[in-house]
Amino acid sequence: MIFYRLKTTLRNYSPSPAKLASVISLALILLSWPLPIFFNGMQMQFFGIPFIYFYIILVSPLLILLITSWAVNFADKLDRNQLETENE
Amino acid sequence: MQKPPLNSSASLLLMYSVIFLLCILFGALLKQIGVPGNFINLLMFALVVGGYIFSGLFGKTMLLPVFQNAGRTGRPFYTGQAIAAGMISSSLFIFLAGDFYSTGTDALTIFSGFILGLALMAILFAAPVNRSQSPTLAGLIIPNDGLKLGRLLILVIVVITAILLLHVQLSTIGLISKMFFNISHQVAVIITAVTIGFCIILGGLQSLSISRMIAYPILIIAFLAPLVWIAYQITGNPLPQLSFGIGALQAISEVDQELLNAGLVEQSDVFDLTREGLNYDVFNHFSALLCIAFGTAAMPHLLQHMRVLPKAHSARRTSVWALGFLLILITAIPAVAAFVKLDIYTSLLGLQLSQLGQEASWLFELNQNGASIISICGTYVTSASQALAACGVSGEYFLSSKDITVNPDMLLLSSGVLNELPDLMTTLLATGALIAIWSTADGLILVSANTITEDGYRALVRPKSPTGIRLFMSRFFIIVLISISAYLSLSIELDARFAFAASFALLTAGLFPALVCRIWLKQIDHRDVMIAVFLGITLTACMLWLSYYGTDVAALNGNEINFHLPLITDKIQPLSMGFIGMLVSFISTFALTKVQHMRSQQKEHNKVKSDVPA
Repeated sequence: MIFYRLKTTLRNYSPSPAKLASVISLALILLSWPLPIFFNGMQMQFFGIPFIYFYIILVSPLLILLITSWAVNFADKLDRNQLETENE
Repeated sequence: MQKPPLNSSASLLLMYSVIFLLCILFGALLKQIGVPGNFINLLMFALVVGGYIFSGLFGKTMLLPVFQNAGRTGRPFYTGQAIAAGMISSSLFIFLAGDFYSTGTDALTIFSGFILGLALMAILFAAPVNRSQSPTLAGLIIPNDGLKLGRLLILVIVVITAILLLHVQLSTIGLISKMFFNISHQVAVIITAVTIGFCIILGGLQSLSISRMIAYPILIIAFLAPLVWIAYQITGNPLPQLSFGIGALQAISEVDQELLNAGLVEQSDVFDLTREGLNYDVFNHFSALLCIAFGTAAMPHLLQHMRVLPKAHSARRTSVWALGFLLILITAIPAVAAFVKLDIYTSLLGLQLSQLGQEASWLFELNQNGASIISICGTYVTSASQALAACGVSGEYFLSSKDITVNPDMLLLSSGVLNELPDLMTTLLATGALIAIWSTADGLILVSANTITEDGYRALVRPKSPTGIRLFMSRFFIIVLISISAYLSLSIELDARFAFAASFALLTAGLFPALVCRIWLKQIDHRDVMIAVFLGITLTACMLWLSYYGTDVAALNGNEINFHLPLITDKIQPLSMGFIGMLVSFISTFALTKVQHMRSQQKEHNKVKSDVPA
């Protein structure tokens, strides 16, 4: 139920492009910062290797790629909606 | 009607990649029959030159819109490759692996900054630059009837940052030309200038897009082929991005722990990607990361590719493709450092000095012909006797971690020899490095020439100049800029890392705030933005000057003036100076806007007062 509501809210959510850009940019900046250092990521092991390596070299870049890809699609959708509204 | 050249991107890409692979096979065959390695190196060099000449001829045009935006015929996937190739410069291809080897968080700053920068470019600037009708960034920031001095300021920022980055590229070429292609630095710079000049003079952005697009697969093959080989050799897993974490880092940390327990190394010498940087504290790390990211996002020679795409959504997608293509290469770079470290640990560490000649003679080969790659006791030795003399001990001495130093600038190029790969793999790395340098240098020159033509010549000197004249002027400025850059790189010695940092700092302090304010905060007047940017960039330039040339500046009468500013020149790294300049630019913009707003309110209030009858 909660997920359904969240999904519907996100689907109908239509922020201004500037707001979307600033929120996504902030999220990306946070992801680039080696966050696990702050919650003792050196102690977390992953295949016997500190999680921090995987986070910085693989996880964080892939998350950045995914979020950027989603944001680009979302911005395209906003553009299309705006164009439709203008045409109407 | 003739098909636009960029419509044949897929065929071009396939054709050049196949030719490259055939050349590698041919090189391997020649090596088998005993042809000298130098001849094979020159063959690869000729292939790169041939690629540029072909791109120039295939994309040639006499139309200004095609020269400046390739007739908007680009496709997202292929333009993404072109952007990634433009981004993979010498700083990334050659130096970053060495930085990972010698420093911890300092290299991570650059690594994360580049990735974040390309993502921000997709989110913030790709679509607006594509929608803009102007062929330069100044046209996006300043309206046609706007402040001419503002255009001049943007022009100065674009050209100076481009010249600084060009200096890095052209001075790096000397590192590889002598060692791998047996060509002197001067000759290599001249060949570079003529080849990339020929390519972009003929076809402008159209030829640039083709040359960068076909360069990308070569860069990837040249970088990953040796690395995959090394990864498979050491860990049995050919994916370096994964295998270095599992296979190499564990072994390194075990050796490091033993050395630490024995007191042979200090904690700061232990190989750890997250150890505290040698140069950066928390403030410098964070601000340098943002400086690289914002500088990359506002990089004019990458943003110009957005104009090649027909629509805004294609421009956004092309940035995401570019990010994906960049990740393939950049995530493998730390693996180079880890594999070299492991190799040094297994082959040199604990070796008796008298056995160096028998057990590690490759070390002496590496340092031949004046090359500075691995030093023993602070000397780049070429024989066992030199090593003994350098350490000042007897042959019984065992080499420890502190005796062995690897030149970080040469780490990537020597990784093939260090891991005892065939010579052809080293040739591939050198070819990749050459392409990385050229594919960045050509875009820097083109964007500067177009900016001078449009924002200098057209905006300030001859506003109604016909397109034919502007095309001629663009080509003329390409020749001028190439000549100046070649001359500067041969005559002035500038620290490549400082030039890189200064370039990004100036972009972050100048171009990034200007673009953000004018694209996303449209209510702000462009005059306020330009005044603020002027303040920010002047402050950054002054700080950079003080940090590079020291704090004692010679006055005209020969006496020295002391400008010692301990908080700025000692504590703040050059990249962080760009971040401070950017903050000043943003704060000044908002302050000026607020003042203007208050003034206009005061004026209205006074007007209402005077209209009311007493």
